[in-house]
Amino acid sequence: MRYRLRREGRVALAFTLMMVTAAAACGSEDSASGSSDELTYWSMWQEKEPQAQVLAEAIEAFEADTGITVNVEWQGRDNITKLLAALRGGDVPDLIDQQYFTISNAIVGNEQFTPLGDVYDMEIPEEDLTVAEAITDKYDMFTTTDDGEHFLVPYEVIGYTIWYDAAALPAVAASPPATWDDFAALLAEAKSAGRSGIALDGDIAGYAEYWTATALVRALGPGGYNELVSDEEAAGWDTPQVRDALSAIEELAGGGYFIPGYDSSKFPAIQTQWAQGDADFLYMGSWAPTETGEFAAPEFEYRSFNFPTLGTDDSLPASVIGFAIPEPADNADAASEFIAYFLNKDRLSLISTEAANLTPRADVEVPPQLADVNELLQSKSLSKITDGVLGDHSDFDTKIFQPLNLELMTGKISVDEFIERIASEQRDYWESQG
Amino acid sequence: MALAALSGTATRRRDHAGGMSAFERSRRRLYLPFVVPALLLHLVFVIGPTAAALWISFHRWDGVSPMEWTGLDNYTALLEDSTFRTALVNTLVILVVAGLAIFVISFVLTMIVRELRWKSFVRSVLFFPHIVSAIVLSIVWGFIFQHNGVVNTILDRLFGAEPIPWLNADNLFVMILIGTVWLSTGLYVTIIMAGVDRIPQYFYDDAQLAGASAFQRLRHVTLPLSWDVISVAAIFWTISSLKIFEFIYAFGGTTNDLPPPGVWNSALFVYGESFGGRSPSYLFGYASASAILMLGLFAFLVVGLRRLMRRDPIEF
Repeated sequence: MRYRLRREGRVALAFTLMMVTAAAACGSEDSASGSSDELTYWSMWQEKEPQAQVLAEAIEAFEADTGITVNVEWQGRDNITKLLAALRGGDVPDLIDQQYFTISNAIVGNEQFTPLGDVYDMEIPEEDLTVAEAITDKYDMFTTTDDGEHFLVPYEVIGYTIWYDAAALPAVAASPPATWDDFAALLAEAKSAGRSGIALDGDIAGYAEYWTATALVRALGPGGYNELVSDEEAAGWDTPQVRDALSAIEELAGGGYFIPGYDSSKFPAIQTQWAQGDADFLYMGSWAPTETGEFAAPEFEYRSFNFPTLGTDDSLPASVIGFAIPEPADNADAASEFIAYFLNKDRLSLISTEAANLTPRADVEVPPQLADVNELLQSKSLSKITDGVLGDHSDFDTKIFQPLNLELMTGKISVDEFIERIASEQRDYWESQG
Repeated sequence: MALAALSGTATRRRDHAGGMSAFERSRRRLYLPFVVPALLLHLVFVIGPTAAALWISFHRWDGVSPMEWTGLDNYTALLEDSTFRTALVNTLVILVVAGLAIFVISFVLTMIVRELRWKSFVRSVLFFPHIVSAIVLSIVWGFIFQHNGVVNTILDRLFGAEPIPWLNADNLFVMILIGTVWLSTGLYVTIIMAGVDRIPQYFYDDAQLAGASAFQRLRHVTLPLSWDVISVAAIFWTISSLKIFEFIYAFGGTTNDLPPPGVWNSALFVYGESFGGRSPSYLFGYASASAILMLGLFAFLVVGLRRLMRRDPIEF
């Protein structure tokens, strides 16, 4: 008995030791730095997405041309969340990509990014120009910190425009509305003809915010809405310009211009209905044609126009997706080399031809359905989508602005109530932030 | 060898049947090696992270930069935060309202199913929603109840009714409550039924002979004799109601977006303040403080509930 007990005890102790060792091993995974002949890339794309296929093709060519091995993980949109966990003590990737505000939110404020000035100075392989020359400084507003340091090199550009089917609305195609009054007239016309004016998947509060945020930017100029919500006294809300913008949005609900069910459907039901011709307009990023394409009628002709003016501003709301290198990356050189390699015109063109998206290089041909957006991108000044509020003040935006905005856009509250409530909740919010 | 050891043990045990002390001693010697692995795992994966969350809750921290000590600031800010207050109320409403509904429905179903011939089949059917992933169910529910969904289509065909906005801001939380009840009831029916099944039939026969109605049988036979099972089920519901997350997240939100803050419960609040959303807030100190507050509140509730439900066990 004693013998057996000892043996059992020993087994149990051995098991305990095993668990402890395993736990310790988990914590101290080998983080030895790799040599510069390899790099790790955590991609925001999933393997089946067209952008991933374009990148995979470039990676293969890069490996063949340079002998550098790229360990790519197609992580999807969670890649930055995982990066954050890795930054606390794990294997940090050498290269990441995401929308500019997601990256800036995660690694700029805490200085966990590698300044990319050197990458902008690099020559693009097989071309006689540098990265900075290939990408105009128009995108610097997205890719630089407040101190003017580059933290991102863009490879895809998103423009936000109001989409419509030119085959169904030839008059709009012939003369797109420039001012809010023109646009309101179109909505009234649609309503009197028994059509819905606007499609909006209201369960995505961010999509609803595009409307109000852009209206506020139109009224106050780029940066105006961001400044409004940054003010601890919330003093700027009760002004004629803000009231004009908010009244325009209120009128969309009051006039009954939204498609029925916009407040009680599940994304992507409403944008699908729009592609099937149930509503005239959809305010969306330049991914709209790829996302709705399979539901659209064969004769559907994707066209779009800039958000109408409510004052002097006519900037194009935009965003960029690009590469960044985390500060602790072991193989920053190899990552930089890949960034410059991918920006080669022939390789980057595939983002346009294969993935049907816009690129930051003006000399790359654009997909036909994005010709309108591209024309605006080249001719207009740019502003950040939601005026950068979603990135700069995400907590405030999610908890305070977006819910109130939805109430305004579903006709539950008036402009007066909106102003009163946002001002008081904004003051409380900033006070609680100390 | 194993067999020999086994028979040896059996013989020895019989030899020492009278004096337990040697056996007790050996048992005690074994106690530690068997408890330590579980305790270590518990320390590493439960107690450690909880202590870390408590520590983090006194700081402002973005997850990467050095933590900045803020004392109780996160806690005072939470009490002022209307989104947190809503999340707290929602959590309690789920606990109490959905809990009551689940237990009432479970009892009614138990009483009905007891009498049925296809008892085990019905039981499996009732249990089914609990097996299927809450995410799958929430997506299906979304499609069924949305504006152009199945329910509104049927109502329109049958009665020519205008579409009901089941999923708008006013109704979403009620739908979440109904969904939670629907998802969880099967489990509690099964647990309570297992308790009720132990009660010998002759108690019911006797009660029936004495002229007891169905309600009296429930009150005087079923409830007292299955009380221990019910109290365990109540504690189990209290704890699991705090952790409801995926149904609300998938039903109210989308792949990239959180549900509207009006329907957040405390679990979603923690996620919303840390990793959630298109542009996460990364307020780890604040999120930890809310988690700690909820942990405290629910620990209090569980202890209270145990005291409230304590009865002398009835032997039968």
